[in-house]
Amino acid sequence: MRLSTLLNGFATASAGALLATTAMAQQSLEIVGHPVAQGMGFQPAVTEVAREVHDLDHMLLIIITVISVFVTGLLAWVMWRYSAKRNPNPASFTHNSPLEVAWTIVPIVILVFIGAFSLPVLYKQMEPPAADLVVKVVGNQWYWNYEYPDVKMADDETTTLAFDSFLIGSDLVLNADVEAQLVAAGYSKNEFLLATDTAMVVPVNKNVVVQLTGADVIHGWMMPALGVQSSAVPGRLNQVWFNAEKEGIYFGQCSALCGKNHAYMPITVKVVSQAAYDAWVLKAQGGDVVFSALPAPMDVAAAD
Amino acid sequence: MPYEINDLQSSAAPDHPGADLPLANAGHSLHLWPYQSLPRTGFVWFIGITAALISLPLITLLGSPILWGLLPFLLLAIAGLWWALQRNYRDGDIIEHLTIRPDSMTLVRKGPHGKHAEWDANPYWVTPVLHPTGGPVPNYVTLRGGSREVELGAFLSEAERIALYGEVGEILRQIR
Amino acid sequence: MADAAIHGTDHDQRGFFTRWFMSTNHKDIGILYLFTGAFVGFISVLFTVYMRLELMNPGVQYMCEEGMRLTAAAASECTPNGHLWNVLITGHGILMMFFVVIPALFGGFGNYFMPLQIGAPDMAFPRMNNLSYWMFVAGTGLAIASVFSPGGEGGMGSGVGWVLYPPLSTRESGYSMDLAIFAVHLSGASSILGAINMITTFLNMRTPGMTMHKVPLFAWSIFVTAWLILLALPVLAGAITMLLTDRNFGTTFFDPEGGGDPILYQHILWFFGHPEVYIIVLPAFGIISQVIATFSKKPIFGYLPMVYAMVAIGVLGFVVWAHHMYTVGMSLTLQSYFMLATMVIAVPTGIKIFSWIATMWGGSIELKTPMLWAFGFLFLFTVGGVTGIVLSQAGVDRVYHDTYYVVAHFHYVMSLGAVFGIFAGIYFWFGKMSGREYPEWAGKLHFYTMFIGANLTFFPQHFLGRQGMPRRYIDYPEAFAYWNKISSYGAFLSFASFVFFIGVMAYSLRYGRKITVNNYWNEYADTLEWTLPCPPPEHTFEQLPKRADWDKSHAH
Repeated sequence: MRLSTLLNGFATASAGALLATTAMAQQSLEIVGHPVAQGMGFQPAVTEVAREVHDLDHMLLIIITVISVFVTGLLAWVMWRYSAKRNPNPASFTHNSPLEVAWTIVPIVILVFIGAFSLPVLYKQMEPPAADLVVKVVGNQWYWNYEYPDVKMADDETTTLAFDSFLIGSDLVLNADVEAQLVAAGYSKNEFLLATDTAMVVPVNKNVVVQLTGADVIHGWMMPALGVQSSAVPGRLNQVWFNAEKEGIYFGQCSALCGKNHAYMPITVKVVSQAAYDAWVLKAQGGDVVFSALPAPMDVAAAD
Repeated sequence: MPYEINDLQSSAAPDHPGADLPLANAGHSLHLWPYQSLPRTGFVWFIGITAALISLPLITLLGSPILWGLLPFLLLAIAGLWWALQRNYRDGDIIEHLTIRPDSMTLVRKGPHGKHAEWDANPYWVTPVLHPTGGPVPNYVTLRGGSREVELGAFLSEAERIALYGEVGEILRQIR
Repeated sequence: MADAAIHGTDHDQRGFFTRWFMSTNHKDIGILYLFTGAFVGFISVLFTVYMRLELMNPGVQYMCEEGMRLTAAAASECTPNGHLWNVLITGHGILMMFFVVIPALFGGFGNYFMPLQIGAPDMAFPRMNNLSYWMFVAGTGLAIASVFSPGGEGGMGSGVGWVLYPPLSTRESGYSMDLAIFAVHLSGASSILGAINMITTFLNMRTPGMTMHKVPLFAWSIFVTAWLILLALPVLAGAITMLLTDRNFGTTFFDPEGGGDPILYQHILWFFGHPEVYIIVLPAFGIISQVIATFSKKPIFGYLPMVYAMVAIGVLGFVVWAHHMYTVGMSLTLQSYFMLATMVIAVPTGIKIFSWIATMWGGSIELKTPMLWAFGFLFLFTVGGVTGIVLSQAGVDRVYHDTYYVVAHFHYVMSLGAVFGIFAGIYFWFGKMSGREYPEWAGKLHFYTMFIGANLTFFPQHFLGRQGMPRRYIDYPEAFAYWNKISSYGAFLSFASFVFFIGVMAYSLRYGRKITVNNYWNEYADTLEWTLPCPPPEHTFEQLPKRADWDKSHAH
């Protein structure tokens, strides 16, 4: 395990004193954004954007269900009513202008109706408000790198805070070792393939702008509960934003095929109170970027 | 119907060279050609619309070297379509021209691809023959009585060949 | 030249090799396409069965670094081999898109029945037709070879997804990727030549009096498809040629380090890729139209709107491509445009669905096997179509993009739509092509198992997508296990159904009852192929067909 792989790796001793203050705030951080067994709907929405998407999707779901049921009903009806048994003599009409006009106009009306609700949702997603926090996210084969351009390291004013985030369970198989690592990091085996060693930490109720790029190939940064998804493309800087309204742990996964371990580069975002965030930043500036509820950092070399 | 019969006026000249002497005796001239379902204007429209639509992706690529990587393939596709349609026109570019005068009759077949064949005979001895079966097509029409037996209008539709057989027979009867 | 040629009627005296390996006859080539497509389809289906087996339970049990296996391995003895997984999804996609559905619908049914329906003696360029077929075979060979040649991650094959996005595809090592590109080149060239041939035949070789507005709907669908191929495939050929030079000759068309842009590849790929969807499904529309009219014993409702809906779907297909790319970082304006343009496609599609229903309305419906498949097609295509409306909304796609919801959507329209169209066509024309009957009960059993199996496979994937499960994953968190298991059961049922189908075909070709009549359905099967014996002789319509044979007074 490359638990605290730091881009600008250095000693962590100086930050040790801060651990005590941060540990308290995280005890209660619950896992909010994750898939549930037998789930059929969305993960809970914790941003306004995600809520709007869900509302729009809900409306669409009603419309498309009505259409599907209507068409299926017609099919069932003609199959029954006009079967050769009940209707041995077929009609021969081939035109019915009012009907033809109707089934051209009605769909147009429905589409205009959908568009009227859909465009504002799109506009809100695409027009980020003023950022309270900018995080640069770089997709790599096969891990994510998070960089906080506005946070400088404690011992070196010229480097910014940046760290990698790897899947917990580097041999990609859920075994006893990996389960122990998960538990040590405050998760359970249910979070295997979702949980990462370090996490992107952001304050609650703040406009977070995420800038994405890819280091090698195209990756996809998808956070269902935040209603955010964007490709991380080499040579481009894409931008998405969210304002999470609930503290908690949120999981996402890489959504663009990026090679062998595409399924093994999940995303963990921890939304925390401003105070906890500030404390974490202080600790991270010292070099320890793990935002963990557990006081003792695990010995990863041994776990490997 | 892709054949037409004109009465030769004594002063009128048929449209192929070599038979343009004004003759005292009127005769008949038949033109036969295979049916082609695409008119020339249809060809122009089709190529035009295709070229316009295939150029659409180039708009996204303006100012990028990728445009030049793509362009040859698009041009090749249009050229291929153009060539294929023209080639198909030429494949069907056959005209059979039958001239019947009281003292002579000639059949000239032009095309496809510049092929040329001629046949002449004395109409007195010539009879049209209808082969309901046995030919390459049902109701195959041939002319018998010259140096060799020749086919007439094999590319026409079945109904047209039967009509043609009747009309040629009528002309030959009149002219004798 | 004009010498008369009178001799006995020519019997089919060609030997096996002459007939099948040197054929220039459109009917024989059509049969070849159908059989080759079925063979490649079987390989491609095997891939998916193996993939569904892997996805049946969380954890990786079959695709191990230690080797592929057919029995589940314990976690301790299996390291997940993501590359093998990627190779299989890539192979499945490329084979299905280029080597199964297009050859079966366009190459097979198109070659066989389009010339017959317009009364043409053969294709405009019979030898080019032969070339198209053998290029397709060569392409198939390369595609399969690509899976077994040195590729990325020190393994075999290339695992980059069928879209071959750079930089992943340009960085993939080994020559497997190059073979795959050549395979697509050959298949593309084959399709383009085929398309030019079809277009020329359709435009210039219709029988006298058969104007564009009297051509049967299946022939129309093949023509529109051919036209889309001609417009779209050259773009793909250009795109992958640039990939090839990027890989091998140091160009940087799509490499940001050299000033290129990987997103531009996506633009041109999808400029091809979206019409490709319609290339796949339009011939199925044509078949369904013929089948519905026949078994409702009623002429098709609204012939002209049906024709122009197809043309409209084709044209609109060229101006909506970037709805596959809402999340790559396009401007708001572009996303809005592509969203609105995409929604418009629902209108002609709706016209077609409702016209089919209106055709059946007041009819006298016989639920023979082809008609069952047509009903199945209508239902599944509607379900796949309405989820398309959901995905077209750029805002909502932000959540659905690259999740299993998308997988469910496109399998509903393509795997279920187009494939149900293929099966409808096979059962509809089986007797015409082979001269033998299939057992009706077997066709129905095949339908019901496939219908249940396919729905069981793909419907739960909507739920997985909504829960956020991404595509192209070899393994997934525990929470996704339930629906994945059900989906796998569905896939196994569909596979069993497919194997049963192969058995039915093998049996019917050898032992099926012989057909003696020309038209074994009813007088509403009124296109020209039904005036011919079953199977038709080697040469058909060398004489132009009689107008009364195809121009039915009740046609419209």
